[in-house]
Amino acid sequence: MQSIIVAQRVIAQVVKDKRTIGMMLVAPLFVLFLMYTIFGASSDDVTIGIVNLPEEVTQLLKEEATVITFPTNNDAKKAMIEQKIDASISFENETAHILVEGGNVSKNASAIQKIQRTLTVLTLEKSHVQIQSLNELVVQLQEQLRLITGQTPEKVAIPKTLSQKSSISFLYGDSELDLFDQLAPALMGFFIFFFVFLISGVSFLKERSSGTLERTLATPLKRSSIVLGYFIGFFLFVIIQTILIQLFIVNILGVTQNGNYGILLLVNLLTASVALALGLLLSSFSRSEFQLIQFIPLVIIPQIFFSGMFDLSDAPTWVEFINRIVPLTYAAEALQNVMTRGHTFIDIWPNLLVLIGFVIGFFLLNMKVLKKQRPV
Amino acid sequence: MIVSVQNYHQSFGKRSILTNLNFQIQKGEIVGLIGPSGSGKTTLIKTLIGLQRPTQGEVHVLGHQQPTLKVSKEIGYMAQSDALYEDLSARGNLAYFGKLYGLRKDILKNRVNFVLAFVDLLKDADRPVRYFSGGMKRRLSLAISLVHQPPFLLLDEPTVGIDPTLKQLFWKEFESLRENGVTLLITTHIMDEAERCDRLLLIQNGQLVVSGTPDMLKQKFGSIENAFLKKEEV
Ligand SMILES: Nc1ncnc2c1ncn2[C@@H]1O[C@H](COP(=O)(O)OP(=O)(O)OP(=O)(O)O)[C@@H](O)[C@H]1O
Ligand SMILES: [Mg+2]
Repeated sequence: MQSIIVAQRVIAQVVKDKRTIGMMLVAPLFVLFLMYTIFGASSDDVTIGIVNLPEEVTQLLKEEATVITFPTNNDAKKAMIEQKIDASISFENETAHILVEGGNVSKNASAIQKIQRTLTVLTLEKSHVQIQSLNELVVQLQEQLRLITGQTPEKVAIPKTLSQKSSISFLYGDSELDLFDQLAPALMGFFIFFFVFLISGVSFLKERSSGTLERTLATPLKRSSIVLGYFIGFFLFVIIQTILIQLFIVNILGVTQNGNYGILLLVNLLTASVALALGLLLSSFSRSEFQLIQFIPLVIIPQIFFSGMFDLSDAPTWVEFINRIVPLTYAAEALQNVMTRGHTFIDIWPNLLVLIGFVIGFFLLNMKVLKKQRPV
Repeated sequence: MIVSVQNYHQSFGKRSILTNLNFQIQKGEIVGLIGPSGSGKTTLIKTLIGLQRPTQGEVHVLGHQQPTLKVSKEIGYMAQSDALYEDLSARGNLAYFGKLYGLRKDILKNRVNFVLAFVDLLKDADRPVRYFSGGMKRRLSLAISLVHQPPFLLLDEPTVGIDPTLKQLFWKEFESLRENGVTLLITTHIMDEAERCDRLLLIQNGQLVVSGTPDMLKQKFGSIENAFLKKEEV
């Protein structure tokens, strides 16, 4: 098989190029580790200043956050300007006044959430007390009624359900699932896509600019065998890379993985195949490595936005349209469904089919482009 | 007949490069392709290999109309600029192209060693091509064109950047290949190389202006160099 000869050569070349191997195998792990650390570094610990708060509220708030007491509202404000507290709360006429710092979105959201939770608990407890005193009142009234009329009325009570707290449970995962767990599947897909695209694109470009592609086309080699050869050759490294990334994310970073390992690998390898074919294709439209790099902000970066990391439910129609035509959408969707929701082959096969379609489409386009350099 | 070119035109976009070329090459000839820089020599060679489709006319090589993959195996090609895999060794490059030309494993090893010895690269056979000098790369390119023992060789300026001793050796080899029935088409800008050809094709302004033996050109114009210069002035 001619394509095997090409594949062997591609493998021999990559093996001799230590930098490329390093880039392919180590770089994605490094970037993922960095992101894991950075996402984990944002703590949701907030400090809340309190002014003139009833003791019961203070106690409840202390369970949620660090609390600092200030004598006046102005003192609290000063501390906030110095960024010592994220929010302050004061009580006037039974009404809570909350001031939020406003400069750090995630801390502010967390502070508001915590204060609101405290106030809810407070309200619930208060209503609980009120219901109880109401119930006591009812009992007293009934006793008086019995004394006046001499008859024993039927017992009534205010239903308890009013005062019950709610409980939350999760269909998939649990409350421990953090941001990185949610992003990891899409990130994995993106990094596999990005690095495979870059490396296959650059090496095919080198083949083109050094004249070896033309020289190879002067042999009896068929055009399809060249593209296929590149596919087979790079696939060996892609398999190693994908397994490494997958092992790293699931076993070392401990990202929630509820799905089948093999199906996850299948999705990842298909993602890599799309990137491989796209890299080869776009290298044909670049005259230099620099021109190939220029495709990255145009073709690769926007795909992050469509990779399921961001909620696009409210996006305009044209965004939804782009979302439907870029390959990473289908890859990320499948990866997320497998990892977080534990979906199996039966659930995600339409996505796999779309990815296979992309591979075949790009492959045929590659053959068409090569026709310029070898008419038959 | 090895090559038959009839009414061949080549243009790129609106630019016409070669117009109405007609010539033939017989078995066992060394044909020199000469002409000023940019006259279309490389363009003609690429069409003969089948790397591009003639805009007009017919180009037959070894009985097949180009472009076709059927004759690729019968042609040895040395491009004007070296097309080598820099990460691979000389041996790696030769083995790769040898395999693409369909050489069997046992034959391949012998052929690779034979052509390496011929171009005097045995000592450096296992070094990456990245470390080669210009002349060494040129020699390796020639070795690649010979590895599958093709009956027809297309050599685009094969002796550029090679020292005189090796150049003599190359031409001796070309002549001995000719004795074995191999046909060669060689482009050159060097007059004493042109003199060693059996026949010369002179291309100017996109046209084949002279086709004849070096002696014929000398008789007509005084010297080959004159033929080259005179025609350009006209
Ligand atoms: N693919 C192409 N597209 C457009 N123009 C081309 C292409 N290939 C060659 N040309 C043009 O055709 C003309 C002939 O080029 P060619 O390389 O055949 O010249 P040459 O005779 O080999 O010159 P030299 O002796 O310098 O090697 C040049 O003007 C060149 O710009
Ligand atoms: Mg040339």
